[in-house]
Amino acid sequence: MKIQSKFQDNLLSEGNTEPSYPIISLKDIEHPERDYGFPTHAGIISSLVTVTTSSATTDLVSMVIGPSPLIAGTGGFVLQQRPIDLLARSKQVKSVLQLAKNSIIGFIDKQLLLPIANDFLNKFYYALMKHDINVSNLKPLRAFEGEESILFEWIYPHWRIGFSFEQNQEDSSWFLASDSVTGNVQAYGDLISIDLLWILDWLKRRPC
Amino acid sequence: MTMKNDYADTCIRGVRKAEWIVDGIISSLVFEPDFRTCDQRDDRGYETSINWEDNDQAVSYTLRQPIAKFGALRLPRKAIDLVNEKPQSTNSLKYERKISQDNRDNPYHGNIVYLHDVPRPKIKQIAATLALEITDIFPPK
Repeated sequence: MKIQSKFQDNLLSEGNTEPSYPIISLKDIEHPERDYGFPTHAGIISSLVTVTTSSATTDLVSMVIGPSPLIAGTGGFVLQQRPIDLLARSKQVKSVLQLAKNSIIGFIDKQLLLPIANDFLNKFYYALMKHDINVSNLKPLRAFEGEESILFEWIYPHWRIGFSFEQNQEDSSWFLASDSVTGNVQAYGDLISIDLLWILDWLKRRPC
Repeated sequence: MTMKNDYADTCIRGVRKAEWIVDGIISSLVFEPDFRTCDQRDDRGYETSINWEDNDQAVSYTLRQPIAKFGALRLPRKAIDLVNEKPQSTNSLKYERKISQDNRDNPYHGNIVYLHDVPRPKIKQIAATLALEITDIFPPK
């Protein structure tokens, strides 16, 4: 099955116009939590996630990863940690995202955007849990209230990553900006076809 | 202050909204343009209002204006030039001196102008790029 990601057209990372990483589209992640709390440990394990992989030479392949090996005993995908590790990691990931989650509740003029932004945080939580991203030294994601938007932003001296949710959802987008110290990476795209794994991979390898 | 082509080496951006700063951390929102300004421009560009730092009084002058109710930032003009030199954002920005409609007596006023054909996701990415280059933050008076 050929899946065209609009992000691939928009990817502007210098010297890397063809992402070779698997692509996870947010719209492909099933069962996001709908409440305003983060998913529970059990929720993570039992969740189903659709992952799309790609390479430069093969068609994009879509595959559904079933319940975690922790429960189903079937092979295939992450969550190899023992439950106690998973709980500790869940706590770490929550600590990175909780500030943003708490902040948006105060954006009283953005009630229509809150469920969307909250959904995103839950999906991001899943994604961070499922990939080996060291979040222990990751600063909290910040939330800012724009004119007609909510912006989540990681702010470091030499790089910024942002996710902007607009009243007009088609305008919602993400960006990565890094300076000369961190490679002058300039990337952006729309949130509908976000290449989350590309961003996670950059986070994993972030220079500082 | 040095001047080149009538532009100072640095400009000052007022922080006019409390939401742009959280715990002393400044969001990229501070450099997002006012999209409504395209209606008043022949080139349909989007303006981010600045004051050119033409002399030592420019910062204190800016901080006395309503546009700097929550402080001000200093941005090197070179940061704008660098955006325009990047292959991905060539000539996405321009800058200008322009009399402010809100304060016609402001001798420093100008704009960073995002060209009209720059897509919004890219505008936000450029705003973040500019925010990385902030050299100084001035608290409100």
